[in-house]
Amino acid sequence: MGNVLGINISSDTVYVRNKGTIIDTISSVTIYSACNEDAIIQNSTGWTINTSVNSQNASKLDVTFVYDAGLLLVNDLQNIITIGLVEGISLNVDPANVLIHWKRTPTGNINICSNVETTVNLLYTFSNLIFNNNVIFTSNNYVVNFDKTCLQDYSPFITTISSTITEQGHDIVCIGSTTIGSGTWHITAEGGFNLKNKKYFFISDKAVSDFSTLTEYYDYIKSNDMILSSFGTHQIASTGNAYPVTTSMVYTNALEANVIYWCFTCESSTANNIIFEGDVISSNEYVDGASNTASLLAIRISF
Amino acid sequence: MPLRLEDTFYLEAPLKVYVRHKYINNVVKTDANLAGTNRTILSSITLTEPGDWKLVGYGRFKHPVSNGKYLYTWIDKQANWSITEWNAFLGDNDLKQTFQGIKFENIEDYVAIHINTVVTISDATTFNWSFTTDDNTAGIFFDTSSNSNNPLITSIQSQGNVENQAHFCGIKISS
Repeated sequence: MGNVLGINISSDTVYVRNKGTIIDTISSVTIYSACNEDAIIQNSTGWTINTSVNSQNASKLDVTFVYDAGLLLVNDLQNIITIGLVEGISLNVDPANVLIHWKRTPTGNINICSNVETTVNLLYTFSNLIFNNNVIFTSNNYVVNFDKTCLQDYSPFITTISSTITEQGHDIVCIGSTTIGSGTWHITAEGGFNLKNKKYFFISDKAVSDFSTLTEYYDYIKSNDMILSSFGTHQIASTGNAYPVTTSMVYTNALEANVIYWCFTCESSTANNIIFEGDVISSNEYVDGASNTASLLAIRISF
Repeated sequence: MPLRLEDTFYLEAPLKVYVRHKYINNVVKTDANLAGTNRTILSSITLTEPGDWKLVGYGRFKHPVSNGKYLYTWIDKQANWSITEWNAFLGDNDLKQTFQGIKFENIEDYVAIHINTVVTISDATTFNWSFTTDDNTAGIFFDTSSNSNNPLITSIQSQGNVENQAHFCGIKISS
């Protein structure tokens, strides 16, 4: 939960509490446009009240609660501390747009938060994972709610493959593909395949169809160190096997969007076995008929 | 402008934070030989920035000696192969969990090995992707290239490159 300013909608009581370790102290809290000019305002023991006319609305008051002992330690505070009462605050404060200033120390800088989010019981959070565009501000660090804050249009990308895969001799077989954006990526492709025939798995940012001739494709591959770093030789000599294959590389892409292909080719020009069944065939009735899955996962590690 | 938390600030629009993870990637392009029951280091990387790092190793490996033998692999930071340093490795919870044994059924097999862990460092530290075996024989266990009839592979080899590469990388995941 973190540290919260709470407002009881029925009693207009204002309170603070701490259920986390987001900040360590509170010295004062100011709620802007908290009430009408003639509202009744009462402070709880240990707190004093200062009011001023709101700069944008002369009929409203900004209300500041100051801890009169100078510094309220909140590290271990689990219970609600009532700091006062502001008549009509629940009618005047819009939870979606409430503006709050607070100080950690009497002489400290003012910290501002706005657009604080509320919970169903009207706890106005001001130092919380979900406040202020998903960033936690603490006394010595800040933490980003990565999923909600960062624009990651291209990360991560996962493609699952459940179609039957068949060897095609020396031809390049594409197992699956995904589209990624610019930046540096860690790409891993994983699945279980029959590896009786020796094969070479790799990841490429070009398909054979992108070139006029196979020679051009080969020339592109053999001169590209990033692509070559993904190359792996796979072979399991026992018959009828299904062994895990992982193909991976660290890949840097300058383009806004680029298709990445997980491919293989065989040592034998006549290899033509099915190496990956789309559906599981098993004596276990639970898994029998389930989709067999391989995956291609791309995670951006740098923009 | 650096964000100082003691400053007053106000976010009027969604904050965009672009993360640039530091990473070190060592690609292995040369054959590697086992040294019997001694340690062979396939790859080493030195991480210089304090913080949490994910270490990852991928590759395809053989056993050079005979069927039914084990290849043992792990990530360590020991400079030497001695009982004392081995015991130090076993006392490192982040690294000892990387230890794995792979049994080879056929000399022709190329088996995929994936190894990873997360470590926290406070200063520059070198990590090794290490191997040993239960057989006192040397031989190639990481075979980067062999005779091939496949036109793509022969093309790669004609450029002086190899078709079986491994990589050992560290990706910084937090400060």
